[in-house]
Amino acid sequence: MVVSDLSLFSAVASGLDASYAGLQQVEQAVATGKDVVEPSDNPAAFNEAELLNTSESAVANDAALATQVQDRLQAASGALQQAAQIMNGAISYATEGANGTLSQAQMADIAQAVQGQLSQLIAQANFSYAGQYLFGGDSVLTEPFSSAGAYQGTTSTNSVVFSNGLSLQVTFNGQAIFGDQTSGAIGALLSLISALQSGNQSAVASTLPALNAGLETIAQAQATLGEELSAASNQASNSNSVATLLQNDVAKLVGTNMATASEQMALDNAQLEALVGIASSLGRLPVINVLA
Amino acid sequence: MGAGLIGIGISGINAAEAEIATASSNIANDSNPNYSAESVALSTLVNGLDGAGAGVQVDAVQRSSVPFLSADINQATASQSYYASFTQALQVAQTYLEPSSGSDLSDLLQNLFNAFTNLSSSPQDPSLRNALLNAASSFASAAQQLSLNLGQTVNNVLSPLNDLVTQVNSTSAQIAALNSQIASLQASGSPAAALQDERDALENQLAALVGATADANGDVAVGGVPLVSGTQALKLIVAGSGTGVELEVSLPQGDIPIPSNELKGQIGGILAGAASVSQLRTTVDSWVVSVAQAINSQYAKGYGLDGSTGNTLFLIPGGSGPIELNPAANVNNVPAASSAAGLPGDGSNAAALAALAQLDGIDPSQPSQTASQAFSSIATDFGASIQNATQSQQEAQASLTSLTQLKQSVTGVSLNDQLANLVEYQNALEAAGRAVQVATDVVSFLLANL
Repeated sequence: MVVSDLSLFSAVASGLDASYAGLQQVEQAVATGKDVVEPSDNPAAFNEAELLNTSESAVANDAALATQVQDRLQAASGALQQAAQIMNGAISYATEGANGTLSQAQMADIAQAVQGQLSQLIAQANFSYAGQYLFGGDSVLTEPFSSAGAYQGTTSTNSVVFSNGLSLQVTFNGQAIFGDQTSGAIGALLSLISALQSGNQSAVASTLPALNAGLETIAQAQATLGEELSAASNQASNSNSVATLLQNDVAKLVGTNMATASEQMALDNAQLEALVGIASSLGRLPVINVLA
Repeated sequence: MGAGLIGIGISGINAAEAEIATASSNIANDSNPNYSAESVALSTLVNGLDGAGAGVQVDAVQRSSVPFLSADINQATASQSYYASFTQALQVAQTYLEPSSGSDLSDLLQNLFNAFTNLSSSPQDPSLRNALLNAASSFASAAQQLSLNLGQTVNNVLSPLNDLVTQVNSTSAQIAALNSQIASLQASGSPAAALQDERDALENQLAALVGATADANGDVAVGGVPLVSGTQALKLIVAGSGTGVELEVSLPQGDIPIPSNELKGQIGGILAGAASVSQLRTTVDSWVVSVAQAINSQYAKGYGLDGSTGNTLFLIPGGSGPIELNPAANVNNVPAASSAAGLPGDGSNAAALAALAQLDGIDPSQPSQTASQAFSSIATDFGASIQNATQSQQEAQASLTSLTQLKQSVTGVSLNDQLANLVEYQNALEAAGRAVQVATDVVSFLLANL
């Protein structure tokens, strides 16, 4: 059997090519931080990473949106808190007017004060956040209540549905919370104003149940909104955590293990050096060099 | 007796010269991968009168060969060349399908679904409406570009085909000419080693080009259809165009098509690669159209801020793509609401559009997968086919390397051997020359003293 020079040197050349190719691959993985860049690098890992990336995109969006919703609901909650304080004030006035110690003039003064409270309550009901009214149902660009207390919104509400299926209400039926000219908190305040203006102590007293009911309705809306707020906060927090976990999972699937890459580079370099040494030795083989 | 002595010496000189020439030729061709080492076949001359040795004669210059390996080497060459071309075509397509930096169609689709979700929270917000239209535009543009790029890749992959067929025909003609020359030399008893080496190399080229096979007589065929028959080269022609292209051999009685599954080599790889990329394009376009149709269907159910309904987000020219963003889509007619009464604050149709992200079967070819999952499957399957082809290419290359080394162990040139032989042949030449000198001296002595 002949050991031809061609096969000797071509084997070394092939080995050198393979070593360089291996080094190039490792260097690229280290430079990009990714072992799996294209589907053909590792189809199974790529597929899983793709799906995780899609989920991460949705979850990251959820996190950002949940934070925005949280801010909106926080602002709405503030408006309801103000409304509750206003109602408490109105109840105090009603109690004072119903005790039979006030003159008609004094009751008229209180009526003016309650009129001011009604305007403040309507202002809270007409609260807007980022250019949209939150208590007008779907009618987000029109003031939900007129200055007279008439409801101008809709009874329908809007909700956001996140990628994990959580639904959070982001607009509210103001009529259900605040009432209108003939019902609820607004209706009760209008009745109180009328009773105070008439100087009728028993009429003033008869508004107390409606005022308390109006306050109760606002308090219930506050509680419900508080639950929504809590859910939005949890959604934002959880979504951020999940997004981070998903990013880590993707990195594990397609990222470069630097320790392994360093080891591989060392092996490839050692192989390269050995092959260069062999190539050098091969150059000294021909008998002619010995004979010379 | 003197003349016999001189003749014997001269025969030795002639034999040594032939050996030195052969060794020199071997050394000169040391780096020639198509060269088969040669050796001189000697036989003893016998004195017919008394049977004594009468010198040496050169019977032939023999070419070392391993015919049973050549076919295997050509087959490995054909496979390696096929998978190299095939893999290259698919890898180009993959860089478009899955850009190493930037977003793929699945990412852009998810961006669009995210935009629908965001719009549902504040459907009257013009900035969110703009963001949605931008996301839709990005998706449509990327889908268009991908389709164009894949189509162009098919064209680029097929572009060298005519030149390669020309090479095949040129090589076939050369083989036919060599067959004629080899036959003539062999008929006259002359060696044809160099021509046989040349023919072997050309047959290997044809194997690399089109997966052709050859027999010991130099007849070449591909897929059972002859390309070279004796001294006649038959013409390979291209029939059809695009991915419908076929190769045929032109015969006097008509053109014979070569079955596409029989085509190997670079041409086979090109045709198979083009077909695969074309299929990928069709699959991706179909996915895009399915997604666009699903979105359009829900989109049309909603109401824009301007009260319009029945609007379309994507146009699908010809029903088969590539899609375009409807130029009539604007901030005011994006249908976030499910009813006119819900305007402007109802975002339920936007929410329904966002929910399409979780819906199985948008792509009918993947009924149990969401749109993103279906796209990932398309990319993954394509990647797996590249991985398999790369593996096959590596296996073919390893096989080719082993077979080549095996052949080289028989037909290759070792400088060490040849140089050692040269020393031996040089000594033999000098010795034969000395023998002639001695014989001449004997004759001179006899002539001087008789």
